[in-house]
Amino acid sequence: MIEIKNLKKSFGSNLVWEDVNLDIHDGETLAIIGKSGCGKSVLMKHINALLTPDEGTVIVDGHDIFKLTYVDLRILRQRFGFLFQGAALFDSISAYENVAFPLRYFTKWKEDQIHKRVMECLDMVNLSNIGDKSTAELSGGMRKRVGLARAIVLEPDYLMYDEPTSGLDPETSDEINDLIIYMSESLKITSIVVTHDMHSVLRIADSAAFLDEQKLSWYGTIDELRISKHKRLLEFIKASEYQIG
Amino acid sequence: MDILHDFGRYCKLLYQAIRSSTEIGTYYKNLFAEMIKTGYDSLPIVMLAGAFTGAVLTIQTAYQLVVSYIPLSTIGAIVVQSMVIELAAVISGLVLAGRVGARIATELGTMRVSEQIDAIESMGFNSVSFLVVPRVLASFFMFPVLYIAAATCGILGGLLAGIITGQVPMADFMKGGREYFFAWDIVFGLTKSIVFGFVITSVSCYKGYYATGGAEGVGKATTNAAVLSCIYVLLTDLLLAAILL
Amino acid sequence: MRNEVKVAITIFIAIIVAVFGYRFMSETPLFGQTYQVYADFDRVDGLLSGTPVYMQGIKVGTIASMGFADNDSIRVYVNLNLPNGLPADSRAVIRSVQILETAIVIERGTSPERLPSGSKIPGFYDEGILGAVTSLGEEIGGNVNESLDKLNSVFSQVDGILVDGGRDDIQQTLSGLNLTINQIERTLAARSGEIEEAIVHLRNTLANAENLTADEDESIRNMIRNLESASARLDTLTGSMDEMTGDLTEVIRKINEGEGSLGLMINDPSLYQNLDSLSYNLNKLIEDVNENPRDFLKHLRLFSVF
Repeated sequence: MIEIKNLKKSFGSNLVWEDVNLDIHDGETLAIIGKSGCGKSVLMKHINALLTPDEGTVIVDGHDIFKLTYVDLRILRQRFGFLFQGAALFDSISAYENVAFPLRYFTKWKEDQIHKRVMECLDMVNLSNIGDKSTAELSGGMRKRVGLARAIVLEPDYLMYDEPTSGLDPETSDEINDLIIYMSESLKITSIVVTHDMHSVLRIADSAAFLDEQKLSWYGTIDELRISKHKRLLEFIKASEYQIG
Repeated sequence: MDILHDFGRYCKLLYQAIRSSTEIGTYYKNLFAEMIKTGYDSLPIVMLAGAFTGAVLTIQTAYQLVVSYIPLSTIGAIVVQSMVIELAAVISGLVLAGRVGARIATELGTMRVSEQIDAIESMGFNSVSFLVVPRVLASFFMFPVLYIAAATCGILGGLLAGIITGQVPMADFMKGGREYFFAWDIVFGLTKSIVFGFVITSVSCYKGYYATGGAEGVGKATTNAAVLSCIYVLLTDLLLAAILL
Repeated sequence: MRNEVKVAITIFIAIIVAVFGYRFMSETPLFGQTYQVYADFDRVDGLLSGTPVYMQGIKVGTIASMGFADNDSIRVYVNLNLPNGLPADSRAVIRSVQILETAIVIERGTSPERLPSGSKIPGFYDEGILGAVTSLGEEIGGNVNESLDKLNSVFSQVDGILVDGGRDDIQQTLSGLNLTINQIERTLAARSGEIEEAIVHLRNTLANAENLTADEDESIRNMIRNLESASARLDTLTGSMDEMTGDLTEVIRKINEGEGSLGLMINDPSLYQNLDSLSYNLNKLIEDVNENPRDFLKHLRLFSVF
């Protein structure tokens, strides 16, 4: 359970958003939607304290994450998986090592245990034959999937996706969407997806939060979204459908 | 204001680095990789720079000392003492400001803009101890090594140049060099090299760690890191000379 | 190769290069213990750490470090490259080994017993032949200058008398004056030999100084003796010059008292001739003093420039 309370953030004199209140329940998949540059990724980076707000706070399972010590915060962060927009793979090591990376530092596992877990995760994202390829040899979709495998390798409770389908062809996007559904259904992971792809929102999300005009403009379930009369939201949905269609 | 802001963030980064320097397990592997990249890989260029500086110093001093009653051993004294006190540390400092400083700023800058630093943090790592500490610490060990290499090559280069051009015989060179070879000068040179190493790596880490704005931002951070490192090497050189001599 | 191994080897080699480089540059043996002794001196002008240390004319080591000891003397540590060690009764002397260079010279003792490393040997500061010659030269130069000044003032007074027309009774003093002049001439005749002798001695001394090497103790002592006797002779010379000056003053006093007259003096050519020969003799004396000792003084200057 993640509670976002009265959050306000500005960069210098530019206000990003204020008055953001949002509850994310265990097991649900929340989509944060909005136009480019409206601060969707910024909001998500507050959830595991990669960024600090000007006002307000985020409470994860009863802990105010901005009041935790750095050591405690880092332990808490291990319960989050984070798939970055460009996958953020470490380019100095191979794809396999990227997935094995958290295991090597956070577990005292033997090499065969690590290998077993890494192959398990790579299987889940359908990349079991990736071997020792360097990250530079991977396509965009493969990078995202390696990133996802790395995000789930420590068996997190929460998974955060930053634009998981952006820059991918529709077929690969669908594969990623399937993976997100698989993660939340089979692993019971709470997911937060930042996207402006309405197609994938309607497929994967249980609820949606619409960031617009520097505030949380609309919040509700997907069923409510389909019948919503919110003017700006309808405009946004229409524009993205036109884009898809 | 900007300067104060920069300085504040720089100090904060240093504070974090010092605080996290106890997490040896996190940076142990990176430390040795950095020692190779900073020290071992820089040896050839530093030795080359030292040797040529010494050779040029000998030839120019011989050219400038035309008065017949100044003994030839003076040239040896000038070359050896200048190399040990000043040139070995400063020349290698300036060369490494370009080589090491630019590399560090590029590495960290790229990791910052491709969200790799965020990825490290979100996994629950301390990115400062993972990235900054090993780089600064490596310089602490390797810069004295580079100083020794530069000073040795500089003296040998000066000696060889004197012999080959026939301007300074070996006996005269060594006589003068030995007469003005003091332990304190070496301590001073070593201190300088350590301080230069710290200045170069910490400034470059700071510039790279806080890089913003994509590929262009990385380029800017790299340029700034190299230029600032050079300036700070010269400034601290002056400062140390004023304090320690 | 693993990174750790590479780094370790790099650092290890750097340390070896540094240690050996340092020992090589400061001329301590590359391997093994250094043989070090120390000595206390009152003063160590011209020495630096790294300055060579000589024994029996060859370089046997360098000065390692210098500093004040407890008793206000300067303690100098020297590293020696002597496989067999130093005899127990050896001494360290600071002296000039070349014209411009001072160094520590170890005078090797004869004792069969060897000093262990780190022991103390007695130290002496030898002002050296250069210092002795310089101070003696200054003394002689001062005396000569003084005498010349006195002669000059005598001349100006004689000039004054000749120009002044107020003396009538010179005639009456002429016999006395004659007597005085004879006396001066005798003095000069007797002393000019001595002056020349002194000059010859000085020349010999100078020749000795040029041939001198640091280790020829005997000739140094000879030379100092020569210089001392030369200086004594010059002292006597100065004394007789003083005498002469006194005599001249007497003459002038008499002239000033108005004995005789100017007309008579002019009419009597013998007086003039006598005065003339007096001035001739004085000139000759000055010439002698001027010509030859100047050479000597010039040499002294050459030393003191450095």
